Amino acid sequence: MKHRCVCRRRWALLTLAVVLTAGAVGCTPAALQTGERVRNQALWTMPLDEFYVYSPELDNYAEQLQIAKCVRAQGRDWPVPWQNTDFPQAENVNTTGLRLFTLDIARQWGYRLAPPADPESARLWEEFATTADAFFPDAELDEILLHCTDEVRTVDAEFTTTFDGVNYLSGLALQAEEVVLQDPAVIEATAQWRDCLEPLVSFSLRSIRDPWTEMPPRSAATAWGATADGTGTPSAEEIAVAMADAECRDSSGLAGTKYERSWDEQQNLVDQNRDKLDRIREAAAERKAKLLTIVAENAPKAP
Amino acid sequence: MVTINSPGLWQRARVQAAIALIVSVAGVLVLAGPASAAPSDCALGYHCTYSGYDYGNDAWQQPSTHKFLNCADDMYIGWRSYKNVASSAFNNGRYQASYLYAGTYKTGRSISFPKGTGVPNLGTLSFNDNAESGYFDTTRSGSGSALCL
Repeated sequence: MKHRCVCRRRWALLTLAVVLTAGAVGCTPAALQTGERVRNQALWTMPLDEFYVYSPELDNYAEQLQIAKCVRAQGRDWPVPWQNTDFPQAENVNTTGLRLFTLDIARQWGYRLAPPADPESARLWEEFATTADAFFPDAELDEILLHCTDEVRTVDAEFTTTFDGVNYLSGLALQAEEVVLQDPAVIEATAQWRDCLEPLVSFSLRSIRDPWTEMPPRSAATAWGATADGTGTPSAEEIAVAMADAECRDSSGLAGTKYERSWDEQQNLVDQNRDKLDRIREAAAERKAKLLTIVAENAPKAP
Repeated sequence: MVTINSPGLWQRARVQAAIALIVSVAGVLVLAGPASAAPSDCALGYHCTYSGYDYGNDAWQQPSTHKFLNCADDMYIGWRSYKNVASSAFNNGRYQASYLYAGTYKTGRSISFPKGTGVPNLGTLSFNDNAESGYFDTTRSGSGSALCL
């Protein structure tokens, strides 16, 4: 009996996947690269986005370049490589670092992260990480790194500025999302999403409150190999479930309702915190210019 | 689910909740400055999260300390879930920023930590009991996920 049920689910999923694939139009990956501040559900643009100036990865990179200079002066090697200072996001991540989920994304990557937007930059940083990790344990190098970090941060006492600013934005976004998840319309749409998807999958959705952060459940992710390698090729089953999930988020009204309520909540928070947000954006813009100068003076040439 | 069965713990919980609320309302962002001391049980190279504030653990909220060297796609160690219990966190990595995400597998909102710093009260960032996955820079790109717990 159970076996027949699973077969039916698989047939239903495969049929749905074929229908959805055949009906696919628009929303190309390139479309994910554009658009800010205007309402765009596919990119999950939000009112707080305009205050996000750059990724704090740039802060870490500029600091590492200065630390490398200090470490070399102590006679040791610290081979910080060239990096793309835009730190571009993978195609299914928006410019503020938020993972996206649409039918088109589900079709291409299932529930997995898309490959790095700049593979060479990612490869070089991974290579540096592998090299650096192999240096340890090395008590002398640890001492030098601590000394050099202190030296750099004594000059750049504001090294946490952008981290603090971006964390503040995330905190506000989380506050908004917590309100949205308790909204009766969102709760009702989530129930409809469960009713839509549950007959098509082999796991329970009862405990899932927010599919954007809780799908797929651990049991399914493990079965599909997502825990072994987050970027491996998703199986046909994973893609079929992800596509059905995306379709159910749309057809239940959950995606649209959650997006609109999130927008309104974030707009309220922007209105209430406008002065502080403006200061965060201004400080980040100034700091970015300073960091890019440091990078220009210290980074290896691009490959 | 948090079970509190001691009046003393209740009192501590209320005090901590009140502190978290006051600090949160004040909008104070508390990141440690340069050369801030790492928690004694957070070895160099690790990112550590704690179920209590100030890098301690709450007796009533188990499991407690969670550490990762590269990343944690889903905050489990073995069969034990460490999701949604972190109240403080420290990045004791050697050369990278670290990130905590509100959802598993790099989903949801995230907060970041410069190396050698921590946040003794994640409530100040609306992130108390909210972390479900965590990463250093390298492992945030997809290819690093094979290194995750």
